[in-house]
Amino acid sequence: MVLLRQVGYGLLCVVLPVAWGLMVNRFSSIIEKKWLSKLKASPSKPEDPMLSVEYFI
Amino acid sequence: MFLVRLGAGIGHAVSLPALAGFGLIVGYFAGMFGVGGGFLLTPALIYGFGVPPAVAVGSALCQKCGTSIGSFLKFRKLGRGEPRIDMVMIGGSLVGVDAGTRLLTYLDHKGTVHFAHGHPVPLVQVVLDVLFIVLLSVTAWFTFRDAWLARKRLIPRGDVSIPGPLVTKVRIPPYIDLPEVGLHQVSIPMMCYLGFLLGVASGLMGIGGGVLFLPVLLYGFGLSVRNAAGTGVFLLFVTVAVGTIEQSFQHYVSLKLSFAILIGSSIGAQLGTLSAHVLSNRILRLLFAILVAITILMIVWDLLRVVR
Repeated sequence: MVLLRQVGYGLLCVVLPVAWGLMVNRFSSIIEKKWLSKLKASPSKPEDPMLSVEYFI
Repeated sequence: MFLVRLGAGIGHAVSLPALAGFGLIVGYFAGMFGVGGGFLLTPALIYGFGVPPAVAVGSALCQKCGTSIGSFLKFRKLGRGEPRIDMVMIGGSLVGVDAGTRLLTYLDHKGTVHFAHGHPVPLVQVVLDVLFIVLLSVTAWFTFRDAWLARKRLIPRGDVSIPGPLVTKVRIPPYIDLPEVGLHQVSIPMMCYLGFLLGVASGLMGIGGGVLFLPVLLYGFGLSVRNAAGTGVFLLFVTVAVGTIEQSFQHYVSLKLSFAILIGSSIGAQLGTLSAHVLSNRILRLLFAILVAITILMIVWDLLRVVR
């Protein structure tokens, strides 16, 4: 019974954050479509070829 | 306000809004720099919120389950990176995360150490602090060096892999070709052992890999920034998920703590990504190196404070 509870809690610790992450991912794609596309099109942004790289490290 | 007992051996009540606010800051930097933020999270939970080191590590891993699934889906959609690297390293990484968790448990059960004129300090805290200082110093050094070299570069390197020392100097057969990132004859045993080390770091320090794995891919394998960012996200997700389950068996995971940070960091990451799009890459690189340097100084300061 104790082992079952431990396994259940362990799975919960993975499933709940993953479910939250999936939900946020859904929202972030909406945000990206609506806001980031406007930001990318902004003429005030400096012209730097490396800016296309989202992650640098 | 909203003081809640978090369980998992955390004796005192912690403010949930404060945790969410802290998560927001961590998420902001993570979104801005494209790293998981584990290098900030674990030390800050220990020193800022008084969370026992082992619980800080376990809860940080749990929080990363939520953030890493998002990265995995994003990069799968973009089709970036080399999945073969994930597949080769995953075995070693799973063994490593188990070893890291066992090592953390061992250190946690070892009790405290006494320094001259100092208070008793948990051994696990001292070991984690030293490891973080070493790891972050190496990362800061490579980031500064790369930013310095990039300063002289007239034409951007672009999306090309230039085989690094791990590819050209480590010649232990059998080998694998990685056509998606333009690397050939890469040693499989080297990748397996590398996966093991990354897994140990995850299990022992609660870091995802942004601060450790990406520098290895960039400077060790010689991958381009674009390819390195998309590589290892599946490996990271599986490693943190397995690590979380293992650490929960040791009662090192506080779901309330992880979730409060995850909620804050989800919002912060969106804001950080927006900031990253209006700052130049060189400025971002410099800001990241400064952030790492400040984190090192904070850990050194706190370590000296508890040791004295």
